[in-house]
Amino acid sequence: MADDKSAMVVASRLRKAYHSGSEVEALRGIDLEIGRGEMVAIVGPSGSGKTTLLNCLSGLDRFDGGHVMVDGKDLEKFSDRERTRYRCRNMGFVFQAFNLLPVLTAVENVEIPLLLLGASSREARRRSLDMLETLALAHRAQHRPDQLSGGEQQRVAVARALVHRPAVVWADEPTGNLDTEVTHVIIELLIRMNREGQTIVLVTHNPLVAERAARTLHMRDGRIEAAHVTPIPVLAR
Amino acid sequence: MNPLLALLLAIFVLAYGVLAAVVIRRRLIGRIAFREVVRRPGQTSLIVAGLMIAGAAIYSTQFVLDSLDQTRRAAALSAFGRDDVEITAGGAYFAPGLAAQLAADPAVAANAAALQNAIITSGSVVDLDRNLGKPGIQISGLDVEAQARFGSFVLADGHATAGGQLASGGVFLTQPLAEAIDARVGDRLRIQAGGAPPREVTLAGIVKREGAAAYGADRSLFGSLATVQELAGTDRVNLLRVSAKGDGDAEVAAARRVAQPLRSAVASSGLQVLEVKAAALRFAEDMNSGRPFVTSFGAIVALAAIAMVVNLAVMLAEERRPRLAVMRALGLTRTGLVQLWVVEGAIYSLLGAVAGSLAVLAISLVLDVIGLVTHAIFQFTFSVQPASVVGSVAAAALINLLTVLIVSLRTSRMAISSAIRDLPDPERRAGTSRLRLGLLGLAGLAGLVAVAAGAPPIRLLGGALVIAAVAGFARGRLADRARYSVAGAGAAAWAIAYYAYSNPTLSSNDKTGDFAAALPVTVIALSVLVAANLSLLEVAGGLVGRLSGGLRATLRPSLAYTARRPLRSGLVIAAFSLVMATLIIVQALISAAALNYPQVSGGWDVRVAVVGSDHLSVPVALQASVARQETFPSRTFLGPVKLVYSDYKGTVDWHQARVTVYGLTDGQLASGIMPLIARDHSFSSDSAAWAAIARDPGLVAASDQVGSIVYLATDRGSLRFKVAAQLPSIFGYTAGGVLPGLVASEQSLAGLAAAAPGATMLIKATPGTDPRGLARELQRAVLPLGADATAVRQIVDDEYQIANAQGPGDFFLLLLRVGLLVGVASLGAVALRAVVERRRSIGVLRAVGFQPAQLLAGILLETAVVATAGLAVGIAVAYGLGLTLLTGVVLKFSPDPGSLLVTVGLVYAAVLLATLLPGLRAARLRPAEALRTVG
Repeated sequence: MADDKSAMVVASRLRKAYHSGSEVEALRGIDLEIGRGEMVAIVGPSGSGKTTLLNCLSGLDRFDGGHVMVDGKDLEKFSDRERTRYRCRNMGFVFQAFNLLPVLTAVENVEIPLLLLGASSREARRRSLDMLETLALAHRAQHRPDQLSGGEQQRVAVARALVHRPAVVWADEPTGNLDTEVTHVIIELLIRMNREGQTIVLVTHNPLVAERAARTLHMRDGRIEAAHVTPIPVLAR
Repeated sequence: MNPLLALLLAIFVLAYGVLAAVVIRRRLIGRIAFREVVRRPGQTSLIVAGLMIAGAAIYSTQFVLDSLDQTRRAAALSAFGRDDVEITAGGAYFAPGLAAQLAADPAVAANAAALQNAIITSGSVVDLDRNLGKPGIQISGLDVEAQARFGSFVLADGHATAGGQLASGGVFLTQPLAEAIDARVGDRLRIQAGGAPPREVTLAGIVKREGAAAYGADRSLFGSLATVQELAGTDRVNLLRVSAKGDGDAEVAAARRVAQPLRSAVASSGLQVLEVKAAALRFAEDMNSGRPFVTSFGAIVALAAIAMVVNLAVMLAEERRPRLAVMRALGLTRTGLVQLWVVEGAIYSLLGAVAGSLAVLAISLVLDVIGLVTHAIFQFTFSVQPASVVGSVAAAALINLLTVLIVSLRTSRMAISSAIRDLPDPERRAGTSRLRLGLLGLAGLAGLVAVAAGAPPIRLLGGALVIAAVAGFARGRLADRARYSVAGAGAAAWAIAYYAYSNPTLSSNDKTGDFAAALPVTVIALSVLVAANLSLLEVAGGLVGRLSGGLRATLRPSLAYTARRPLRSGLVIAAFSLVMATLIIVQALISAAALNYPQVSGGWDVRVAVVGSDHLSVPVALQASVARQETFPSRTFLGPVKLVYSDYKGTVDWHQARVTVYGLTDGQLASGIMPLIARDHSFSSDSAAWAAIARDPGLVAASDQVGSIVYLATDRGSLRFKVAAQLPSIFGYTAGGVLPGLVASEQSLAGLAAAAPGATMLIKATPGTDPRGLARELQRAVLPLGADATAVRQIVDDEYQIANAQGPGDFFLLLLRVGLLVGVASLGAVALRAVVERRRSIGVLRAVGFQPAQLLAGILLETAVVATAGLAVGIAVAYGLGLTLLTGVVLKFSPDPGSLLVTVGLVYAAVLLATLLPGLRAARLRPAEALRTVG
């Protein structure tokens, strides 16, 4: 974990409700602080509000009440365009369903954030290939998602999330569709990135994944029930 | 019942019967399918709206054809009224006693209600009180005593009369003729009938073109037999009209029975017995041979609609994939999944087909009620034939159902685990299953059999099938891009080459079947070729993207989705280009219908015509205003005529008609008196065609299709004239033009000695002379001859007005314009499909930093690329094939580049509108919402 412990993400009294027929309160006044370079796992039963919390913190979704500050910026005050731009520059995402664009090759998928940030084609390709090589996927760079295994697809997704060196990576059930062996590979990868200073927030059901995070937040019924700090020996493992 | 319709209905009943059995046996499938339809009304409406296009396209074709048939039949019945059989000597006169003699024959009397002596001849009329006249009118002298059975005259004021006013020596003029010479009841008229000296009569009444006066030409004069005998200088008759007993079809059947004894009775006298009404009805039916022409356009629209149906079905399948996968996981077999999908699809298909047909009926009803469809020269009759409605519904439902079945088979091959999680299916290895190889072999074999033994259109399709089968066998042995490119180019080359080979002449009889096959094959083949090479766009996009990373990021997903899914891109390109090719041809038709005055006038300013005299000259006082003049004799034949058209109109069997033959000198023919718009392929130039007409008295130039043949049964035997070159005429009014008849050599008139003599003079005015003024001066000078001098501009304008009155042609154009809707709707469906299917991808792109505007631009770009490819293929094919089609079947293909540009602009605007909504929907998707959605 990095030494700089200043807050990367701060949420206060965060509330969010869904209105489909009857009102369902997904987040009921969440207070939360995530430090720079920290790796936090959010766990809890289905419907507890994990993904909603992650979406609200990352600016993917709007919320009904409270505040969220990411790296000192109040995303709620941004216009959609500014928020998108901020996300592009400062955030990376990893999803359970990988969500790679099926018509693009692995390297082309990884290039997307760099191109959006204005990198030249050559620079984008070089950095994307470097990232894929880091993840031991250079030999699959020209393959399309349907030609890759689940683990490989998720590693490409991780590469896409990290290639532009974002301030924070949000991972929603990144290992949900993977077997134990590949889960291990992916989580080791995230931990390696975290050790290099990358802030990572992940939502998971998997206790094995959660216990590798520096801190685990337990959610139930839209509230954080408990926080659990992982002992150093486990982290060092 | 039509065997094809019976087969169609049998398949329809079988298909829906099988599905009904499935629903009864597996109630769960039926329940889920019905609930999907009922409980998702928005989705059901969208799909049914899409599917109804196929139904509308098919039924609108049939409706137009049924209505045209009905209109032609009504026109034929109206024109002949109670006149079923006519006995004629080819214009020559015979003794009037024949009528009584025949009436006494028991075999005749058994089926004939009445016989009427008549004289039918051509001549001219001058209204001495108005100083106006018209030549070339039809003069009918009827035995008034027998008129009752043949119907009443309807006077302009609406009163009906059996013709009592005619008995005292007066005459009736039809309304069009009376208007042309401004005649009023009581006016003194000078009539010249045939070659006899002119006589004066009184105008006893102006009659409408209905009832007894519906008979013969628009500009007609009716008198008693005695009056017209006096005008013609004879006490004989040249026509005996026979009315058969009964009404309607019974009357036609009785006419058939009476014709035989009549023929036997007059066999030795050289007279001809013509079943005139039956011939007119047959002609109306023969015009049905134009059905393939109209149906082929309807089929093209329907074919384009299928591509849209495929897109809708695939969209639905993609959207349902996770839920269907869950059903599979719960134990639904692959067959069960197909059944579930097809049962639901069957409901949509039937609803769409019925809704499409009803929509056409509703639109027609509205048009009828508000009176949009009227015609200056005949009443258009709407016809709703139950067989056509049922057949169209069955055909459209089966087309839709088959599409859904194919899509369901594809969907059922999903990898369940991936589909449940809404992940893409893992790539399948290119299979070489025995079934696939067997099917390919079967297709190839069928293609070879078709090439070896089929009719031209079947051969064309067979060849394409063989190429497709060979391409299928090459899978895995050749890279896909190369395989598709070679197959596409090969099939297109085959279709074009075969079409050109099978239609080497302009006079080929029926190209419509070949065209109906060649157009879709060429379009689909070129679409495959283009779709296989869309990756070139990515290269171009990469070059453009060097300008900025953001631009490259925007372009990349759109171009990748277009280029790397060649099958679906090709499908849409094919649909769009089919529509575009059709639209361009329509555009060319519209352009052709526009008045081309210099061509139609042939450069002449005034036409002077006379019947009854073969002498015409320009008075000395007017000579200074004349730059060029050509005068030539004519013969107006009124008698049995048979027409064999070289186009879809088919044959018109022997019937009583009037044909003018112009006899030009060699010099006049060599000077190319009129421009030609087409000539027989054996002539290398227009001059060669005119030279051939000068040499061969059997060759003529006319406004009918090259290759058509006109037979005239004269008292000296049958004359045969073949159209070797086509004169310009107003689109939709080929009976008119500056020289309405057969332009031939002088020697061609030799066989027409008994026909009414006449003369025509064409005049080109000197620069600065007002043609209308010159025509007025000439009219005054030639009036004593009963001649008519009219400015060519006036003739052309009048005919153009008639030809462009609202009529059935509008239905045809309306049908083809449906194509535009289909094309645009197809692209709208593509855009919608992109949004539905890529919801997650859109969410990811938004999450990683795509702005809404970039997403919108991407969706618009995607459809614009497909539209552009479709436009390119459509334009190329339309020009390639349309050039031959329109020159051969309708007229010269001369698309107006300006109109084409406007069409292209409108299409882009329409595509933009159709895509904008789904595009905005995509752009407005909130990333979290898009990512959350699963199925």
